[in-house]
Amino acid sequence: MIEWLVDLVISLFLLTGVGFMFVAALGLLRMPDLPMRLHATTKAGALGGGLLMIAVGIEFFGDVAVAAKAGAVIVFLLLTAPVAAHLIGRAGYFVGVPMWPKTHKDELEGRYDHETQTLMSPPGLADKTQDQQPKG
Amino acid sequence: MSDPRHRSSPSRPRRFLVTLVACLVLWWVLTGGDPGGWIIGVPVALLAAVSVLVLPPGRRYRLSLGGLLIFMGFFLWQSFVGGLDVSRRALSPRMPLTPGFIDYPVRLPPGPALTFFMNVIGLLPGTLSVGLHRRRIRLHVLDLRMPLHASLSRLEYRVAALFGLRLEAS
Amino acid sequence: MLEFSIFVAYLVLGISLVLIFFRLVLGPSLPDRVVALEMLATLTVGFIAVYSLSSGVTAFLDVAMVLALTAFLAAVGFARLIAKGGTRDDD
Repeated sequence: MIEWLVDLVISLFLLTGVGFMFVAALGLLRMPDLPMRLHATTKAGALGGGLLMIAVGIEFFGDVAVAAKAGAVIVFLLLTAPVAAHLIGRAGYFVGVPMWPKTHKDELEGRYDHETQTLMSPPGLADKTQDQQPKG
Repeated sequence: MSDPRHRSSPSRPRRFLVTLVACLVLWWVLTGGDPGGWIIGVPVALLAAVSVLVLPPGRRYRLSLGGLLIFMGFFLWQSFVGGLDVSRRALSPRMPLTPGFIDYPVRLPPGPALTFFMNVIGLLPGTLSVGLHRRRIRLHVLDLRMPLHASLSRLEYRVAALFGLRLEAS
Repeated sequence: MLEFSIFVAYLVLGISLVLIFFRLVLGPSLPDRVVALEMLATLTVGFIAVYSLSSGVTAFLDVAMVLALTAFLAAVGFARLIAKGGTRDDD
């Protein structure tokens, strides 16, 4: 009975996990522009991977090393996904990757960034990448 | 001993020891206590601990354990909501999107707390930070109709509480 | 029950792989492909998780751990390349 219950819980995490993975992949394909694709892969992808690793952690709960590895993967995914998304999103924004035409741009757009090119990352994260950008 | 500058951050030997022990414990857990692994593990942990001595200490901040647990609960829940939100949009045939860029005037002081805040934004429902211009975070949002400003300032408040900081008056 | 779930999981991950591959080929810009590559790494982590569940072999979890970190480094490197003036339209 207990075993059946554990299997049920693992299945639940497994299926929700791959569900989110699928949604991330679908969003990556369907979403109309780069930042929106990033939204899909970061949030849904990291969540899916995390849920799958929780399933692994439950399955191998008795083995501390395996459970710790699963936990480490979750931490790495949750830590790195938003940083990578920020850096790619920023780079894309910087070089002017075409946005979806219906994207609302505020009136600040074009006044700051492409002239002064002072779009920055959080301090200490990627100070080196804010060099002069090539024109055009 | 009474030098206030000295008391302000943990002393170097202490940070060295803490890093060394933390690395060794992490190694032990990840290798499952395999004795052969120590040949590599010990030197690497030592190197990591030495790097603490070489690298300049960051800004001082204090995390409370209780606050960390509360924030983790909040963060995991919000990540879940964020995943659900983006799933809903990606799956529905018409894709309800009103994307756009907004600027959020940030009140956190520059430092680890601000970096942390900008990263957490990336996992919350419908927001992604793409840049920081002076004291404004530029965000790409999936749906401008969401109550973005309210949820962002709530999150900022939580981050400030986690780091034991006070928000500047905006 | 778990066996069936694992079957479904492999199936869904396989379909996801195809979807990501389409984005990787379609582009249209280099950053889009970088995003696809990063998603591919996340998906591989997912595959490893399902494989560990289905086979009981946990050795690949080390790979998953390293992959979760190196994919991030690759994304950071690409972001720098793009920001430094890599080609924007690479096709």
